[in-house]
Order: sequence, then structure tokens, then C-alpha cells
Amino acid sequence: MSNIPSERIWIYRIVFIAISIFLVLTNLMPLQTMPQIWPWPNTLLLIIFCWSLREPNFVPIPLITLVMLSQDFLLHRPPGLFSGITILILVWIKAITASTDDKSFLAEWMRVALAFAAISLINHLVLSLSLVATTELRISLIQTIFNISTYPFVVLISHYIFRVKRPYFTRSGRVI
Amino acid sequence: MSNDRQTQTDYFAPVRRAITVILLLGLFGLFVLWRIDSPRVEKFRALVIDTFVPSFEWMLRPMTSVVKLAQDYQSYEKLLEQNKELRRELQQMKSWKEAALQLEQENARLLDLNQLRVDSKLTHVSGIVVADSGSPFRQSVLLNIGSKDGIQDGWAAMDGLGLVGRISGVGSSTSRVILLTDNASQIPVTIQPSGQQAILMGDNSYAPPVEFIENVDLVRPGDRIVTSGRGGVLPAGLLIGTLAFDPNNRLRASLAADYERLEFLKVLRDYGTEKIDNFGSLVTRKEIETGVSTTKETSKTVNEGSSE
Repeated sequence: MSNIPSERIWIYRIVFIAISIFLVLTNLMPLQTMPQIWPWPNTLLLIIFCWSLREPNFVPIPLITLVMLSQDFLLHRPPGLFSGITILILVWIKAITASTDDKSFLAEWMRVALAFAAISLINHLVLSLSLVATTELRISLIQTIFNISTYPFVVLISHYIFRVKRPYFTRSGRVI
Repeated sequence: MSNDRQTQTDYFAPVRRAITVILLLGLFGLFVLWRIDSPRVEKFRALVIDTFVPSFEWMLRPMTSVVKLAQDYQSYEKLLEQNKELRRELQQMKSWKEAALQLEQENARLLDLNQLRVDSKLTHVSGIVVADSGSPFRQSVLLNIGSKDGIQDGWAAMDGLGLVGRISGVGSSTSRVILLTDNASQIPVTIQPSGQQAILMGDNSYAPPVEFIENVDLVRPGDRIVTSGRGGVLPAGLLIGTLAFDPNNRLRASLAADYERLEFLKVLRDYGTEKIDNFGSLVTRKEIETGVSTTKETSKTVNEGSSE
């Protein structure tokens, strides 16, 4: 049904899982036991958005759910919240991207920036409304800014190294 | 989205949408469940970590050592400077060592006079730090010891110098230590020598603030901060650090434990049912001075640990 052979899709899915395991391991390395002032960008989030907007078949929603939920558990986040918000926003952004004609990268970047800001703000809001002890908003805002500014690099790396290219959406909003 | 069905290949679109909705409901449901019944979900989290981290340790360990090697190489450049500093510190340490030895002898004599039997439960288990929290929002480390080694929730974890945190979340072969710097960490402390009670509140900064001091006039920078043992969570008298003012004139703890390099931690066995009295706190304080043991072993008594 898809233009891409299914072996290739499965290879990319496995690559995605491998990347996510590698990223979580680099996060878990016990190098930084001091509180950090500058958080790293959330690379997994960047890859999910970048690939979903190019080849959604490589990162289907169930796979994203699995990977993000396991990261929620491993990275000591409240389970389900961050991944739920991310997927909600991701679906929304995919729908917006599908319904506009503006396929330029700048427009995509703007939308993704909006998405990252929304994710961290909603996450913070829900956490503080449900009275979970949260870190100051500052750290998540700094991380959001890093996320937004590193997004083009992730896109470039995906394009040239992983060969995940151009948006694949049809006018009707579905992927073929 | 209504014109989806125009495309031939989209028979699965409604199914896909339904799956997405179900997954989202599941995720948010899990969050609500976690909020309501946190211990059960946290137990599940410990299980996930317990299966994931040991099975990827073969990868985690080499990666960590390679990065550490690179970091060490960077520090070679400052070697001369460091050497001088270390010499200076060593000189100070020598005089302290002398004092400590004398005190130890005196203490042993006094214990002997009192016919005090050291509580056999006041021993420790040492563990290796295999992972940190992995996010800038939480401050915790993962040890390679767990319920197999008899670790229980709430026990104190120390490095060779001072209190590092306490156990929160135990798997069968891993356990998580919430560091004193974590947002969720609140420890009742006593400020010596004035004996003022206060609370050490982690706030994701290197030096956690000391709040709720009974009488601020009685404490001054440089005072020692030790655990008070109130609330029965931690044993009393574990060294935390010294008091210091930050630029905003707020009292903070300068932690004694070396947070830059947490490699081995010892977890104090503390079954916590009986109250630790003055003698107990004296003995636990002594244990702070012991060196870090590198192997996973349990020393039988505190005296044995501090006889080096």
C-alpha cells in the first residue's frame, strides 16, 4: 500500500528503537550527579516529530507510545503524562501540517516550535494542578528553547544520514 | 479529515484513529492511576528499571568509562594546580587524622567502660552507582543493589564523607537513591553546635536551602548540619555538610558528600523500629569517617569498618 517496501519500514522502526535505547542510556550514564543548570535538548522528542512529519510509517503511534512510556518510567517522570501530551500534540501538528499547503521548512519549524512550547507548558500546568512537586518552569523552558533551536540539526541529520526525507502528506491528510 | 475515505488506501484510518484514542486514554489513565495509587505504579517502575538497566549494563558501563576517560584527560591539564591544592589539603588532613585517631581511642575506651554492645544492625551495604536519573528535573542515582541484598525503602545512602540521599524505590537488584538535591527531598536536620532543628529542602540546586530554623540568630555559617532523626526516617547524626550563606543571604547547606563523583555509595541498614538514642547517634556519626569500600560487602560491625 505504501510506496516504501515494508522491509525498509521495519528496518527504520528497529533503527528508531535502537536510537531511543541509545539515547536513554546516554541520559542514564552516571556522569552528571550534580544538578544541571543547562539541560540537554530532548533528542527523542525531536526525532519523533521530525520523522513523523516526514515518514509517519516509520514511527507509528503505538511504537511512539511504547518508547515514550518506557522513557517515562526509566527517566523517573510521572508515567503516562509526558508521553500522552506529546502524542496528543503530535497528532494535532500532523493534522495541521496535512491541511496546509505551506510545505516550507520554516513553516514546519514554526509549528514544531509551537508544539514543543505547548508540550512543556501543558505538562507543567497539569503537574502543578495535580499537586505533583514540579521543578521550576525555568528548566523546562530552557529545554524547550534548546529543543526548538536544535530541531533543524536533527532534520539535517535525518535527511543526510538516516535518509528520512521530505513530507509525504497528500492533500487529504493521510499518508500513502 | 472527512475526505479521508476518498483515497483508496485508507481503510485503516478509522482503526488507526481508534487505536490512537485508546492509547491516549490509556496513557492519561495511567497518570491518574499513578496520582491515586502512587506506590503500586512506583513498584512497577522499579520493576521496569530493574529489568532494563541490568540488561543494558554491558553497554552502559563501557560508554560511561569512555566518557569519563575523556573527562579525566581534560583534567590532566590542570594537574599541577590540583597537585598543589591536594598537598595543602593533605597537610590539613594529617592533623585531622591525628585528632580523629585520638578521639577514636578515647571513644573505644569510653564504650568499653560503658560495656556498650554495638547494635549489629548498624552495618552497611555498599553499591555501585550504575545510572543517574537521566533528566535535569530529578536528582537521583541508581545503585546495583536491591531487595536481594536486603535493601529497604527509606534507608540512608552515604558516600565516604556524608549523607547523599535516601532509598526510594527498590527492585530486586537495583535501588534508587533520591539525592538531597532533589526537589522531593526534605530531611529533618539539626544544626550543631547550637542544636537548632531545621529542614533541608532540596531545590534542584547544588546547595539545598535550610529552612524552618527555629532561631536563626543562633546559627552561623560554618556550623555542621547533621540529620536529626526526627520522623524516624533516617538515623540521627549523619553528617550532611556545613551551613553557608548564598548571595541572597539565604542559608544553604554546603554538602559534605562529593556530588561530582558519586561512584560508590554505602547504604546504612536501619530497621528503624527502635529509637536511636544518644549512644546510637554517636556510633553512626563515627561511621561517617570510614572510607568507601569498593566491593559489595557487608561489614559486621561499625567498629570493624572504622578501624582502618
